[in-house]
Amino acid sequence: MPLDTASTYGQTLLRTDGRRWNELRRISASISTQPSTDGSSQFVMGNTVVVCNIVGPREGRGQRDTNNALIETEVTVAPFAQTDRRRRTKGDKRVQELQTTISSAFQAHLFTHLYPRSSITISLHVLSLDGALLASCLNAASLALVDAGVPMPSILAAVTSGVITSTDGITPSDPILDLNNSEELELPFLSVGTVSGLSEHQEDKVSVLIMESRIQIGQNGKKLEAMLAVGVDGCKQVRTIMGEVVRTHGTRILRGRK
Amino acid sequence: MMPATSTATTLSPAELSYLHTSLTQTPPLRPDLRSSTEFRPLRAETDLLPTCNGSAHVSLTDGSEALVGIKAEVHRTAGANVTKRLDEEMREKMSLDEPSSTISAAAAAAGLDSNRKPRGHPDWISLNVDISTLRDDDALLIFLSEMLREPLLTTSTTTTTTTTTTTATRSSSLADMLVINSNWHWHLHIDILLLSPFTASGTSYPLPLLSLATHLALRSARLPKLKSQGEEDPLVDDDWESSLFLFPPPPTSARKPESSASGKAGPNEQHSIPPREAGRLLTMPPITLLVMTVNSNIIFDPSHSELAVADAVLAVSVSFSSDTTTHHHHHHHAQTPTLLAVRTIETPARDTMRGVPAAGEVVEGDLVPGVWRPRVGGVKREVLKRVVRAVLGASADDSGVAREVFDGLEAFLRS
Amino acid sequence: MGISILPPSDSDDDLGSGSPGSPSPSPHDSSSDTSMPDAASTSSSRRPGAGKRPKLSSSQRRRNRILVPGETITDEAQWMRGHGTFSAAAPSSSHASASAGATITATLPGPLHTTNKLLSITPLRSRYHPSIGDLVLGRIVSVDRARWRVDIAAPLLAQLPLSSINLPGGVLRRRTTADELQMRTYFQEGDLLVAEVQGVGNSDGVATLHTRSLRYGKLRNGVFVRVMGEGRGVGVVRGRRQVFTVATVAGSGSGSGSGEVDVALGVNGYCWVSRHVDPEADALEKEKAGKAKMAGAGSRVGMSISNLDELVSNEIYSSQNDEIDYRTRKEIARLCTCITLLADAALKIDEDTVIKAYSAAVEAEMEMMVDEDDEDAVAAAAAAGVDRKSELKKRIVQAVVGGG
Repeated sequence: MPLDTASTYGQTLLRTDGRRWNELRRISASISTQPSTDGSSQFVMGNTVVVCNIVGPREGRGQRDTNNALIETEVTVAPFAQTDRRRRTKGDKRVQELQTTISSAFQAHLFTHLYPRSSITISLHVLSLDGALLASCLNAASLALVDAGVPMPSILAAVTSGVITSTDGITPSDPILDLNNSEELELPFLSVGTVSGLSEHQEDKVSVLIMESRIQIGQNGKKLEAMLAVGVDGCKQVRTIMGEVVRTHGTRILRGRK
Repeated sequence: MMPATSTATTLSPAELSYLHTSLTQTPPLRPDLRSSTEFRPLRAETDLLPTCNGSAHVSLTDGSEALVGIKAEVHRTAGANVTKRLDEEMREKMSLDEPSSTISAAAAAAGLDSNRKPRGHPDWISLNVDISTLRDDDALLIFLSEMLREPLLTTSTTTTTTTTTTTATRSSSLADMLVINSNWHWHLHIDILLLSPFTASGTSYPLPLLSLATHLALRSARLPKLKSQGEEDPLVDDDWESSLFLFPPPPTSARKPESSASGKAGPNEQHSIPPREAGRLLTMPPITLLVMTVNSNIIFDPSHSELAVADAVLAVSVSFSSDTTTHHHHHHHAQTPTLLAVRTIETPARDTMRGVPAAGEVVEGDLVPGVWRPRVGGVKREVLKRVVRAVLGASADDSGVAREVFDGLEAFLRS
Repeated sequence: MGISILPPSDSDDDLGSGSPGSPSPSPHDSSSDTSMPDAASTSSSRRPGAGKRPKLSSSQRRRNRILVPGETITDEAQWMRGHGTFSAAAPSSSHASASAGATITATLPGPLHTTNKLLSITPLRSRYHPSIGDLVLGRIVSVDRARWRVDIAAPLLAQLPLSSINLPGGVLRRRTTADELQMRTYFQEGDLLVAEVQGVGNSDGVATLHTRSLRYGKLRNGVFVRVMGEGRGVGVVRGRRQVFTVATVAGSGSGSGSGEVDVALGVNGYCWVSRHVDPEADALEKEKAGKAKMAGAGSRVGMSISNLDELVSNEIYSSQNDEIDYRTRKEIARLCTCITLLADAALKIDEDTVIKAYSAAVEAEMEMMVDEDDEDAVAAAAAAGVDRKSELKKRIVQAVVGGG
């Protein structure tokens, strides 16, 4: 059994993979990875690898909204994504919930009024999973939508954050940023996604917030507030990275065109 | 019912007629000016997923991409005790001066091969194809999985005649290579993902892409080294560097001093065929090629638009087997191609609409040159024979398309 | 001959395993120290690229800089916002330093363009957006009552009303209900056509097409090529000549002018390469062959508005291909591959570049041609097949870029 975080953190202030409380895992991302689709991206956060394809905006099939574009999401988690091979069926409830969360996040965020009666399909493939499932999917989809040229007020970025409860009840609990799979199994955590505020002076706004663990609110260290604050700040860092990826890619394209 | 290759083709009757006429020329004029046996270039990468025993990623220039991951788990062999008992019984009944052919026949009857090791079972390999836009019970998906899975399970046999009149039959299949001992075996999970969207216009039928990706993944698959021996409960070595390839890798002609990027430390060690394989017939994983015919022309690796005008579409599965008892260096050249299966696939040219001729309405059945008519009818036997000959190679000079593809794969794996 | 399997190239974005070796751009090393503000306080760190209030008139560098969605362009009141930007509501009065104007922010990735006082962003990649007067190629998707729906690679399908096409019998003919019932005799699902965008719907951006000029109609005798929208490369350029004829190598030997190939480049990325059809010459040929057609009578006269009704015959809606010889087909295929090559190399596609690419291809092939009788050379060429192809591609691209 691997060492768990809570027992060793107090002495070392390091997590099981050697990170400090506020360190993100290594993030690398690329866009326009699949030339035959309208937009595509690959997002890697530590050992979690997510590939995203966008088709659209195109004429909507089935349900159509006369004023807005409809966002549809499909998520496939590869059977070999985790250490144990496990195949999820299409109707898996957790996957469906994931799809709905992603669809509604982008439905509210993108400028869908510019493409009435059309639909945008987001296809996500999770090739390797080590925590941050929702966050990586949101980030990959965000980048792919930027690649596809769908207008949006800012780039939506997401991250996970959790808290290590102190054992003695006196010292405040420590929030941590970007949990891996073993940490997610052990500690309470949440996934948060933010978008930029409308002008420079405004703060970021939380667009997605999902928490499935149980936590105490209020006394004994303000755990929830700490997690949220760390998460929002982490999102800002991720957004910077994603912006850089888009800029580098764009510069390379333009240079090739001259 | 023969499966259709894709949803309705979106080409106009004028385009279809033009394409068809171009392909009936001698030599066939393909839209991208390839020759009839030329394949589109592929980009491939193996051993890229750290959680898998073997993996491969293959992509074509038209954007279609496939990813295959292979994971192996140790499972208890069902009915293991039964096999043991039979073996003991057999030993009692047999006497030493029985001819060897009876031994192998008796062994086969007891579910063992001629070396008296337990036989593999096809259930030990599960193959799963995932295409995101298709439902789990979609006919196309099921047919694809079966077409990819079936060649893996076939047993190839060779019969060699020794100097005396006895014959020794040796046979092997992929499942046989998964045996640990009579109570335990490796179970292989082969998961195939089609990453590119399936209904994107211009992507071709994914079968050959998936087949090549599976082949590369299997060739790059490694199983952890066994520390236990004989009938002990399996215990594996945690060190991944000492793991052994499932299929022996092709011998590198020029050995590079530093190990390649895929971390093959100690090539000598891993080139060695695992002891249990020695003296066996080694079957390489199969490859399935897509071939189409137009009148009397045979065309390999058809693109989406070429498939739309095909008179017939065939999926040909071929594998290569070699005798591992021969010297290591000759291992490469001793491979003989074996035809595993030829399957007909419904050509999308059936579902097309008729063209409109210039002279107005035309009597049904009249063939107006330049006007497209949907294809009808099946495949002639003569054409089938020619296709098989083209794939396997007609003579000593003509090595056949399968051999070219196989050599291409070997060259890639070697680099 | 044969198959070539290549490792992933550096410019491709291949799958990384999350290990430090993956070649994706800008990996962010998480161990670099970031000065973290107190976790409990609200963040006051600056947004990237925001130092002072951005002044647009400043450096040249700004012109080529790629903007990212969410990035503030300017606060100044003098600018008007165009495509690819949006303006947020003016900041509230609590921020005393705010200017009177609203902040203009980018919504698409791409370089900034300033035309007079208008700021706009050309996205690196997007679907085709129809505008009036565009020459496009489209494929019929469905047949509705009195109109067709056409796919022109735009977000929504375009409409082609029955009244906007030429019907046999003349341009002034009234559309009857019989015509409505027989719509499929004109255009079926899957047919390709050239059309002009007549109008764009205000509310939804749906294009309305027409094919009234005789040059436009159902396409045949050729091959369809798709260039992915306005992305990947610059794609097809608006404004230059989009329908042109290339005198190909095939024509030189036969002498009957049959080697000419028509190329039609649609602004939406759909292109058509076909055998050249000269209505006058064709009609003359047919007369010579003794086939009397309705068009035969008026064909000696040039096309003009007064005799359009005579020239429109059933033929324009037929999908019957003419006889096209092997050499011309080869040249058509060659032109198609040239166009695809230009798209892959992210070069703009117009008459100039296509013709340059084609000439380069012909030259290169002639130089690389091997004597058919020399078996060794043939074998060597076959063995080096892949290298030759990529060599050919490089030379074509160089010719286009260098000559331009």
